Amino acid sequence: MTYYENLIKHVHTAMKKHPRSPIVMTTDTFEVVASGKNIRKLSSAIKKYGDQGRLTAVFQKPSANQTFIY
Amino acid sequence: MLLKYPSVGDKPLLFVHVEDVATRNRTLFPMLLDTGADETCFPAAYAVYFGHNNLAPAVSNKFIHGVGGKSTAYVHSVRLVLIDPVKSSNNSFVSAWSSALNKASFVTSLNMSMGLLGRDVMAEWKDLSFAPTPSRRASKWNITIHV
Repeated sequence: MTYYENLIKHVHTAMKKHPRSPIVMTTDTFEVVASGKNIRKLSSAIKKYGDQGRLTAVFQKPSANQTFIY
Repeated sequence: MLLKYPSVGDKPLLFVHVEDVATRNRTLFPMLLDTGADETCFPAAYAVYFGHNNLAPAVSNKFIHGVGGKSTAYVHSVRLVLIDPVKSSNNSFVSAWSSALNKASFVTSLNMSMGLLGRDVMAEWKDLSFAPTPSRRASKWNITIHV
């Protein structure tokens, strides 16, 4: 399994655990470090880990009812 | 160089490093490969994730037209970086490609949890394809980008 495939696996796990909220996850340990609808709080977590030289991923599970036509 | 990514879920969606041009801060963010989008764009509310403020006086804005009609877009200096899906590891991110594009629109009416990677960025690649995974058609895609 490549690193990217492993990342996606952990993204899906996090989405199942937090199905309704945006999530911030570290990309080295795949730890969810913030979740919730408060964007300021999430961006603070991104900055905090970024200042430590660590990368994060931010994502949210799309609603099952969403059909995109963009 | 050929870069191969599995999709995130049932859409041709991949994680891209979005880099603030000024601070070089990076965050991985999901981007939908949208061949119908003229420009790469993000939800306006997510600008703060990349250290930007839509209401700062220096930020320019423009109007964008889409399915939802006319809406305001704030233009911020960001660059997209594709990670090498094979050479990267937990402790080392290997960049495979960086966009020449160094600004993107953050659109007020874009109410979704992902960005749209449009043809302005795709035009910088040699080739792009996404094909359904044979065993899970329409629920998973294999994305191949030639840079």
